[in-house]
Amino acid sequence: MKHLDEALKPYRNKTEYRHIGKSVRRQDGEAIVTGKALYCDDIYIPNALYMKVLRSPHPHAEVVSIDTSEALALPGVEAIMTHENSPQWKTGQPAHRLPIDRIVRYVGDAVAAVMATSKQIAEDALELIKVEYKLLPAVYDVEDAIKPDAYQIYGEEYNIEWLGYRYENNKLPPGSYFEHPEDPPFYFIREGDPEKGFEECDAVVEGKVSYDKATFPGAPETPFIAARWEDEDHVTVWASSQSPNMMSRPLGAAINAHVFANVPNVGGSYGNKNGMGYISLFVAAAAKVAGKPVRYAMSKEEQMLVYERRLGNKFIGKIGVKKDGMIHAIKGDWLVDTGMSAELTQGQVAEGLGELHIAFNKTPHWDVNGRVVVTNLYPVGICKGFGGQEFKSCAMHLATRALKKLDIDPFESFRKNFCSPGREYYWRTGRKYKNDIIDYDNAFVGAAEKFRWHERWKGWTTPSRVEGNKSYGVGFGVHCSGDPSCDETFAYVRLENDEVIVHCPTSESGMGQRLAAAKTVAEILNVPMERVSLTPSNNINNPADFGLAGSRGTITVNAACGRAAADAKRKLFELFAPYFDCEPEDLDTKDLMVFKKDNPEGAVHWNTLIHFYYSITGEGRMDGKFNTYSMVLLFVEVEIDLDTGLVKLTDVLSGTDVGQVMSPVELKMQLEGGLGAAGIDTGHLEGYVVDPHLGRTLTGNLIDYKWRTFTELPNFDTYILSSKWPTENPFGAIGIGEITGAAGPAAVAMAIESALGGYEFNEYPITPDKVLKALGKA
Amino acid sequence: MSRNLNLTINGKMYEFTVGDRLGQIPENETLVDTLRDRLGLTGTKRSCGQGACGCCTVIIDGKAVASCLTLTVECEGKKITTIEGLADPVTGELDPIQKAFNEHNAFQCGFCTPGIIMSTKALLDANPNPTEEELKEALSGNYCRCISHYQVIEAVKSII
Ligand code: FES
Ligand code: FES
Repeated sequence: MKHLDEALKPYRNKTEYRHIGKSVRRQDGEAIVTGKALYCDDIYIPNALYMKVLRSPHPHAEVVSIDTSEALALPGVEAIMTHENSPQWKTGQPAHRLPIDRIVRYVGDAVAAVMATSKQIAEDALELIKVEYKLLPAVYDVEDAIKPDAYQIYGEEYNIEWLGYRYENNKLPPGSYFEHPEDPPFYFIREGDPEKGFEECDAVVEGKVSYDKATFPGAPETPFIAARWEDEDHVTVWASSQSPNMMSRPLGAAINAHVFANVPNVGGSYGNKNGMGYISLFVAAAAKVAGKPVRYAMSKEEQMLVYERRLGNKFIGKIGVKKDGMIHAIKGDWLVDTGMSAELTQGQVAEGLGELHIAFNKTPHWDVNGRVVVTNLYPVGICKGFGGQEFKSCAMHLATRALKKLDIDPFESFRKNFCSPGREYYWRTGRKYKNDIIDYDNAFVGAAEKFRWHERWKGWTTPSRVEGNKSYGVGFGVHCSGDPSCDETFAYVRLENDEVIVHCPTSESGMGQRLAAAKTVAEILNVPMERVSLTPSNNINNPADFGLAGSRGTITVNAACGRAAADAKRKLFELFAPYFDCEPEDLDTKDLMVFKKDNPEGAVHWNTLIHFYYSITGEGRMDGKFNTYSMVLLFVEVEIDLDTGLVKLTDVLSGTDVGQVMSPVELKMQLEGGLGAAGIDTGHLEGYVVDPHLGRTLTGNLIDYKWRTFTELPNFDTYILSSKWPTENPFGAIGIGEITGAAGPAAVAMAIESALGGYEFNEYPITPDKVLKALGKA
Repeated sequence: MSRNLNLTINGKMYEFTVGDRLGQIPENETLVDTLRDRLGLTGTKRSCGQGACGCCTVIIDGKAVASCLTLTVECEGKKITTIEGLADPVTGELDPIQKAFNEHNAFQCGFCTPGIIMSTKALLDANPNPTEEELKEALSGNYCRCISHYQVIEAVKSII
């Protein structure tokens, strides 16, 4: 790829581009505003059966008997899958979850799936299935689940083992496929000597902070999977997944078949519809049992009650700080509630640890251990923020207690502790990495100035201002991720006749990454945007790519596509060199014309030599690395009604430095998106209410699960620096979308506490009832 | 006995029969299902099914309505407009709202967008010059989890 990078060099230092950094309509824009854009459930699949699922009313039980005969006799019912006839494939990390098990492990666990010719018939048939359960003890709290006498949610017979570690006391083995095969699992950071470190501190705090209410990422399009077995070894899948490969590779391995994954427009994901591990396994199994294609669009309640939620967690620890605001020592247990199953929760532990290590990068003493605990709550999946949002909402919040003791400005402390160029940080493999150049300090300074932080922050026990019965407080948080250059991406660029076709499996779930890829290719080939199209997002017309996760698309997809475009351009010039009787280096191209640099007037159209049935294919790739991290700062102001306890977010400023801006409107919207997807608003607004005795989610519908509407928008400002980072993105950009809400909950908590004169909360979300209690009014 | 049901959707007349036999519209069928599953008008999105999110919004006799809470049999004789019916039927020219949304990139995933456009359309038809507050109020039943709100407001403001 070296020669291609040479060819791309001139693009890096330009200040003005033809397409990059410009506001350009998305290719699917007109389809979206006219309703023509196709999402999974809009697609007709001939002969597909509809599926409905019978779900357990109990949090933990054994299915003693199940009788489906009456349901099967209903006209239109073609097949029923239960634990008795379901394939014995397993998903999870490490593999532990069957499509349907004899044991149900949470309220909502699948007991039977009916496949019928209509939704209504499938639904009606559910009522005809008779099930006898034997109840088992259930546990919902991580601290209870790991007690030595707690009931084991997975028995010995599941043989859950990873790298020599076994399932024990409801703790899943640590580690995931993020580590290098020769390395141990990454689930703790131990460095220095914490006990000695605490002695050297000027303030030490101990405590427990919980961010453990289940929250709903909330994509508007419910998860959808359809599966059609072509033969014993091949299955075609339609998935509302953000990343076709992240869905199809693990699925293929679990079911021992080749998966052809198709991803049309995706109706929101926020990381949450990425792997879709269990649901894809489930539908593939159902289609196998039925012997026909099966389509399954979850209902909103299913999405809210049984699909993948954000992880819950608690940090029980001790943090010491020095007078100068440096976090000096940290110790504790990070208990992660993964519900009844884990797809990649251990990976979230690895990234959460890495994210805290980037934030507290100058802390010499560490002893922090992450543990993934199984409970009888509904399962955790992937969601933007990916472990770091949850962990830091607890750990950084606990650290603020020590800063408060010493009356240190949290912004100044977090700024000083943040990783600076040349310093090493842990990332998800458990190894350390280093970024030599990216320095976010200017963004810290500029964003704080724009928000007027130093004027508005009045200290830990003084509200920013009080007006009548309203008290205002400000808070600050910072988040970071080492993922923006992670994992492999391959791309091809084809030049044919009068068009450019880009092959990369990038999907469109709202971030505009397909637009960015087209812009990159159009920029490098110097063609109008209309000439560039992308192949549909799937894994058969396109080479491999991990998918859109951790904001990696901006660097990796554009690096691969940029190199593929440069390679195609090189081949184009090689083709035309004899025609012009010159060297390829003497040629240039614009608007599909090729010409000698010293004679632009003699330009000829590409199709002079790229005839009707002729292709030039350029190849590009990027190998994954962990040498860059993204950063987003959040400044918030809250207003508290001192009579009702109502907390309102009134003002938000999201600050970052993205290197070169690829698409300004999309970037701004990604920052604003921090308000959604169980991000900033989990600080004070969002969270399910779960019955503590029955393990039932009581607010699992969109009427009861509160979130933000058009009438409740805070003032939202951004501070975006464009420092041109030397990333592998051809123009020097870095992605940030994944982390835009992650610093939010802790920032909101800080703001609320300061608005209340220093009252301390140890639990999210900080809802009006808790505020009223703080005010002595409840 | 089956009875007839006449609907006008995007200016076209449709005649159905109501009943439980194959191909008939059952009494309990919701309009969103009729539009999507029978007529292939998939621009109207099914999401919460409870009238909470606005993804399924259509215009019935001038009012923005959640089609997931509307029984098809109740629409006899009514004029229904879906997102597919907004463009000029003769020239194909997009409605100014559609153009404004596209020009302002007023969407991310776009799943909520048809519903938001239909709510906006109903508002602007009734009140061509709404204040920002009136606009927000009219859209308060349309959820957008991607947070495209700010851009939506920009888009609508550009045409009022
Ligand atoms: S789907 Fe009708 S309001 Fe949500
Ligand atoms: S654009 Fe995705 S929900 Fe509104």
